[in-house]
This record gives sequence, structure tokens and C-alpha cells, in this order.
Amino acid sequence: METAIARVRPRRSIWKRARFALQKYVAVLRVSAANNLAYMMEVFFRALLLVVLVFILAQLWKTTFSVRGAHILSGFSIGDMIWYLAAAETIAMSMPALTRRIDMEVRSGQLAYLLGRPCNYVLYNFAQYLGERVVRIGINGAVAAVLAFVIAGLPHFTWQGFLAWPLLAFLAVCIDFTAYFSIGLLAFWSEETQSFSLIFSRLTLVLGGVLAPLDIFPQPLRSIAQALPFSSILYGPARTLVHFDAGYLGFLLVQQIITLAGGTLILLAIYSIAIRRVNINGG
Amino acid sequence: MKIIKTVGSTLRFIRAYLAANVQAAMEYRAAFWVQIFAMAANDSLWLFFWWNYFHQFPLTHGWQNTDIVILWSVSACGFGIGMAVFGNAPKLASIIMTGGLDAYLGMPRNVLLHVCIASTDPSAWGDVLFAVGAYLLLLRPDIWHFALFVLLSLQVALIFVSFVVILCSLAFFLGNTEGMAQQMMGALISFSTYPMTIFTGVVRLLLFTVVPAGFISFIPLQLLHQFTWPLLGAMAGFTTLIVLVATAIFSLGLRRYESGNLLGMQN
Amino acid sequence: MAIVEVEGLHKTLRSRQRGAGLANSLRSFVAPRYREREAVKGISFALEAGEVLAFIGPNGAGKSTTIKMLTGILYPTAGRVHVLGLTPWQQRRTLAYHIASVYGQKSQLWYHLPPQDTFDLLARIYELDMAEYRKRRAFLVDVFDIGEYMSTPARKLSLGERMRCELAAALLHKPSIVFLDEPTIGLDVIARQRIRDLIGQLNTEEGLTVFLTSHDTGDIEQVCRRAIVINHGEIILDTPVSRLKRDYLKAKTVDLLLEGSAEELLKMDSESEQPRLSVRAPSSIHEEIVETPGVRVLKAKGHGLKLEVDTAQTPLEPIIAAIMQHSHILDMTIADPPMEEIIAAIYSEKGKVETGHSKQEQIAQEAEKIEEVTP
Repeated sequence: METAIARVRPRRSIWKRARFALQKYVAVLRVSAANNLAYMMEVFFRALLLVVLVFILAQLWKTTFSVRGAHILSGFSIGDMIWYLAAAETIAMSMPALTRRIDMEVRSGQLAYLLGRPCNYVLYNFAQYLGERVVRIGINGAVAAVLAFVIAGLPHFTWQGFLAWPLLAFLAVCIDFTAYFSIGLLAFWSEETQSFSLIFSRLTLVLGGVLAPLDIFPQPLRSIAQALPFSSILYGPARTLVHFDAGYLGFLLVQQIITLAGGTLILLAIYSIAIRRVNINGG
Repeated sequence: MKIIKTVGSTLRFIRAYLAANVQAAMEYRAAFWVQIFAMAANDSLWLFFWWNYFHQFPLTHGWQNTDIVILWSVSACGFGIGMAVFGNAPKLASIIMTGGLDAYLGMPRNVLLHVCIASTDPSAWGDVLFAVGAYLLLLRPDIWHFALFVLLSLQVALIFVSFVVILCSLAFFLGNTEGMAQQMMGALISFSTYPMTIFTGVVRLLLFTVVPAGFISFIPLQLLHQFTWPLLGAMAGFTTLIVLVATAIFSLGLRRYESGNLLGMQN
Repeated sequence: MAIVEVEGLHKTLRSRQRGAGLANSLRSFVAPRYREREAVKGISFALEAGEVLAFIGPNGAGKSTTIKMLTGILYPTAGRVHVLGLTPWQQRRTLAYHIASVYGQKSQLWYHLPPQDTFDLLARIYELDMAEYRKRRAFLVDVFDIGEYMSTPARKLSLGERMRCELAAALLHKPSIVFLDEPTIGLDVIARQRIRDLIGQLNTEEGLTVFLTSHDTGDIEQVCRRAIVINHGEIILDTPVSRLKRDYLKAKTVDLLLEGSAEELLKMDSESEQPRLSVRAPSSIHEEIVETPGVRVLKAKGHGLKLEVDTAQTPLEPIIAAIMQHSHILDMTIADPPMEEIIAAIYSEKGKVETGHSKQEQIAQEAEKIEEVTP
């Protein structure tokens, strides 16, 4: 049904909104350098932590490789390994504080007010999240790439892997959104949501293969981990970048889409229950 | 005599806050227990992964398979105790920036201590649960080793809390350092859960000074393998040192706060 | 013996000047330029035990800076302060056992716990003897009438109930002096009155010294006996509350209920065009009310007539007499002006800059004048 307002100001498509959000965040970052030092410091130290983690893991793997006297472990050379780590950590460390923001909006009662606005609350948050996340991935990616180059030299990417990576990363980021947004909504039923988001992120890190590619895991752990949705967030994109495999790509895409669908369903379910609570209790 | 009275009164003070904190956390009972068990399960999963890893790729230089358990148990137990008792310490930076210190300054107790014990982190209890469980089940220690484990965990707790306090106290001088403190804490925890053998040279030096992961897991590991009094002395000495440094930096910052000239704070 | 002694208190605040943009931010980091602001410029006063003081001033006047120096949170640039014989910033913890602060905006009660538990915790903080504490608690629960809320989590209490619990909590350790910052803010009329009564009661019965900061003039009028007005870091007035009204605004508000119509009363004599008669024999209401200096018509609608009479310029009696000649007066109230006006007058008379408050007053007065004569 077209309303008069809709004709005058057409509803922006989700992509357009994301682009605007991205531009807004780039602008915020530029302005932030002078004004919002705390925000810049946080992004900077996150990138620093990425350096620390990649460094530690690289050391660990180098030691492992040398103790084994091997050049290839489970199909990964030490160079591949380090670039894999860099790629996985880039995505892992770029998560903005989504759960905290949703939690605050629910708890402060602002949610009830925001629901009255003419744009969809979920999509609005998604656009904002996407903008922030892309910028962080950019910064982290640059830092990680430099570090990986310094430690391990040039990567051996294939052009297929390179092309596939943005799509896979995007799907991974969407999956993350459904998870952390839903956790944020749990603020209706729990005193605190930070620990839940922390636990989820740590599960993603270990089962999603940021410590090591899942190929290193022994069976049956490997099969279990690969079947679980977490692997589609970190392992999938990173491994495709480093070791492209058409067969696996197909499997990964299916896995990501199913996970995304499942996550979206869960999100919408929790969201509708939450809305009902807002309507009944008034926030 | 007066010292004993003061210590007693301080311990009662901490205990009263701990009780109040737990009670407040129990108001949402389901969430409280979920957080505890979820964190314990999470830690167990990570340990399981690394246990498997070191099974597959054993390191040389005297590294035993159970050593990873000790690394994790001691650091998790220390971290857990620290964040359970002094759970408000990580929020110190934002408390300073928003003028929240004023309420504590009006109270007849040591400000730093009071701020730090004012809240608890429920998931930290999960860390403690995991740590004690893992240590008892996987290492089967005798009573002496367990006692040493507890003693070391308490010291590790103080090291963690002092580390956070130092970083957050920089807010007195540099503005809101909360983001930085969080990430550095993450770095410290990360460094603490890996065997020292993979680090060399300058990095090792850093790990015994600026980012004291060496004192959090490596030295306790040595002590639990082979107890020597000098090493325990070194551990206790460092713990005392970092606590003193933390209180000194906080006091300096507090002096600045009391002058009203704090960066970014206009009345 | 004075419980609070303040002599020549000065506080200069230094803040770093920051420009906008990256270049200026970096410059301010490396070679900072400082800006100094005198927040408190030489304040002196003394407070006796048992006094109830209103500490009034517009925002930015130096109120909270002064209070922070009295409680030991800030130390001054110059001057001396003694509270209960102690120097606050040097003996802060000792002093803390004997004073209490209550902020209307911030809560001391734990959000999820019943007040009972906060009280127990406070007992531990202040190292109270348990038996004494229980007696004191029972007494305060009775006085503040909060017995039925003691086991309810604080988040479920209304603002008025919570405020009473806050006050009780603050008084558990029997402080000699309590600093109240906007204690009635956000409360409804009944709750507000209750808090005022309780403060008054504690002052009378226990000799509690009260240092009250409030923008609510009802608080000042009803609870406090002395007022210190501060602006631009200086004390501009230190006087009993009763004198505030007497000396600072001699205008009285006269509210009349007439038998006839007020508008008719005012209009009546503009047609008669009688020459101006002496005040002693008034017949022209128009002259008496509308033309006499010092008389302002605030409202004239229906049977209601409201006048403001500046008794310094013209006495009340002839005005009333003139009205009585032309109409029966059914009801009459003669009142002091609202406190807001008094405060605004003090600020603008004594202070050099017009505060936002008095500007609001002016706008309100203009608005009233517009609605005033509407036939």
C-alpha cells in the first residue's frame, strides 16, 4: 500500500542505507580523529590486539613446524598458516559493540521510542552495524596483511579465492549480526547480556577455527566443528582465501545460507516476542 | 594491634560487599547460573582444544601434556577470583571520567578498594569453577599442591587487578582509557595461556615486565612442578610490587582529581 | 562553636584549551595552553550546630565546587575550611564518619536489593556497632515510615519512597551534618512536603545540621532558616530566610474576588473623564489602579482581579479602599510574591548578568500582561 509519505520519500533500499551508513562511519572516523579520541583509541587498540594474537599464534605455529621438522601440516605450509590466521583474525576482531548497544536501548526504554520511527528497527541497526563492521575489517585487514607479510612474506592466493572472499565475508558478517542482535534482545529477560555475547564470541573463536584451521583438528572433532555453523563465520572465508577449493566453496555457501536463514528466524522470533513485551508493558 | 584491627575491619568490609554483590546478581537467578556454567563450559572447550593440540604436536624442552592444564587453571582461577571480588575495577576509567568517584570519596573507606569491590562479574565465578575443576580432575594434586595452587591463584588475582587498575588510572591523566584497558587485558590473558617456550628474546622480557604474563602462568607452572622458596619469593615480590605501583598511580591520579583540573572535566 | 568555618576560600580551575581539528588536538597535547577560571573567589561564612542553611545560586555559580571543598573532594587554591574541627581534604576519611551527602539525582541504594541490605552494608562501611545500628535503624524506619518497603527491591519503589529510604540510609551513622543536593527533585507535591517535614523534624529533635542546595523555593521557604546566595563564585547575600522576603521584594500580590466584573471595574472611569483627584478621596478606579505608579494589574477576568502592589511606592490601603467603593469584595488574599521572583531579583540586582531564570520571569510576566485585559 503506497502512502503519500512513501511517494514523497521512498523507502531506501537496504543496500543504499548500508552505503550511507558506511559513508557516515568513514566521516565519523575522519572527524573522530580530532574529537572522539576514545573511539579511535579503541579501534587502534583492537588492531593492536590483533597484532598480538596473530604474533602469538604465528610463534606457536612456527615452533610447531620446526619441532615437527615439517614444511606442510594438513595441507598448510607455514606461510599459508600465517596468512590464514591473519584473515581469520581480521574478521574475528572487527565485531562492533552491537550487543551492548541493543542491550542499552532495551534497558533504557529507548527501544519503545525507536520502534515508533518510520524505519524498521532491525534493518536500521543492520545498516549501522554493517557500516561500522566494514570499516573495521578494512583497518584490521590492512594491519593484518602488513604483519603477515612481515612474518611470512607474500601470500599464495588464487584469484578465485580472492574473488570469493568478499561474498563469504559478507555472509559471515550477516550471521554474526543475527546472533549478537538476538543476544542483545535477551536484555528483556536477563540482567546482563555481555557475558552471553562473550561466550558466543569465544565459541566462535575456538570452533570457528581462529586458533588453527579446522584441518588440523583430529577426527572426530574436525567433522563436528566443520558441521557446526561457527566454522562458516571464520574458517570458511579464511580457508577459501588461502586454499581455494571449489567443492568446499559450494558446501560453505550452502552452510552459510542455511545458518543465516536459521539465525534470521531465531532473531525474528525473539524480536516479535520482545515487541509484544514492549506493547504490553510499554518498555 | 591496630594493624590487626584494620585488617580485620577491611576483610569484613570486602566480605560484606561480596555478599551484597552475589545477592544482587542472584536477583536474576537463571541468568546468573547460566553465565557461570556457560563460562565454565567455554573455558573447558578451549582447554580441550589445546589439550588435543599439544597431544598432536608435543613441544620439547620439558613440556608435559598436563602443563597446558596448569597454565589455564592458574590464570583462569586468578582472573576469576580477581573479577569476582574486584569486579568493578575494569570500569574504573569510566567512573573517573563521569565523576563517579565523588560518591566513594564521601565514604570513610579507602577509595581504590571501595571502587573495585563495588560490583562483581558473574561469569568470573564460572572461570573459578572451571579452574578448580580442571586442576583437581586432570592433575589429581595432593593437599600441598592444591594449597600452593590456591596461594598462587590469589597472587595472580592481585596481579590481574593491579594491571587493570594501572591502565584505568591513566584516565586521570589521559582521558578515557577504558577501551585500551580492555584490549590490553585481553592481550595479557592471551599471553598467559601459551607456553613460554614459543617466545624468545625481547618478547620474553616484555612478558615479565610490562605485560606480566610470565608471573601469571609461567612462574606458577615452575612452582607447581618444583617448589623452591626463592621462586615463591620472586612471585610474592612481584605481586607486592605491582600492587604498590597500582596504588601509587591511583593516588597520584586522585590528587590530580582533587585539584579539579582533570582533563576533559569542566564543572 | 561553629560546626563549619570557611575563611577566604578560593578555587581556581585550570583547563587545557583544545582547538578543533587534528592539528590543534596534537598541538594541545604537545604544547598545551591553559585557561584559568576562578570558580570560587573568596568565600567566608560560619555555620553553627543545628542550623538549616539554604545554599542558593544559579548554575555555574560555584555551589558544587564549594560543597566539594567542604566535603574534602576538592582542595582549594587558598583559604581555610574547618568542618567539625577537621580540614576536609586532609582528613577526609575521618570526616566522612561524621557527615552524610544525599544527591537527588544519584542513588546510594543498590538497585536490585531491598533497602534492608543496603542498610546492612552501610553498617559495615561505617563500622557501626551492630546493636546500636539495629536500634538506630528501627528508629529511622519509624520516623521515615518505610517499614513496609524495607524488603522490597529498590527498583520497585516509587521515587518518593526511595527518597525516604535514601535519607534514612544517609542518617544511619548519626552524622552531625548532612549535605542535601536537590532532595525533592522529581517528587510529587505530597512526597515533597513529607521530605520537608522529615528534615525539619530531624533538625528539631536531633539537632541535625542541614546544608541544603535546592532550586525549589518551597524547600527554602519551609525548611531553611538561613540562606546564602552565591553567584560568580562570591557570596552576594547571607541572611535569614524571613528577611529575604521582607527586604528584597516589597511587592505584595493582592488577589480579589469581586461581586461585579473586574473588566467593568477597570473600564468604568475612562469614560467619566474626571480630573485627577487626590489620593485621599479616590473615586476613579482607573487612576487608582491603572495610573498609580507601583501598581500593576496581573489579571482582570470575570470576577477575579489580581494586582501587584509595590508597597515601597504606594501603600495598600487606598487601593483597597478605592476598590471597595466601586464593588463588593467577596474574597481577598494578600500574599508575598513567589520565591522565584525574589531570587531572580537578588541575582539581577546584586549580580551583574541577568540569569536565565529572571529572563524566564520577564517572559512570563509579558505573557500574563497580554492575557490580562481581554474583554
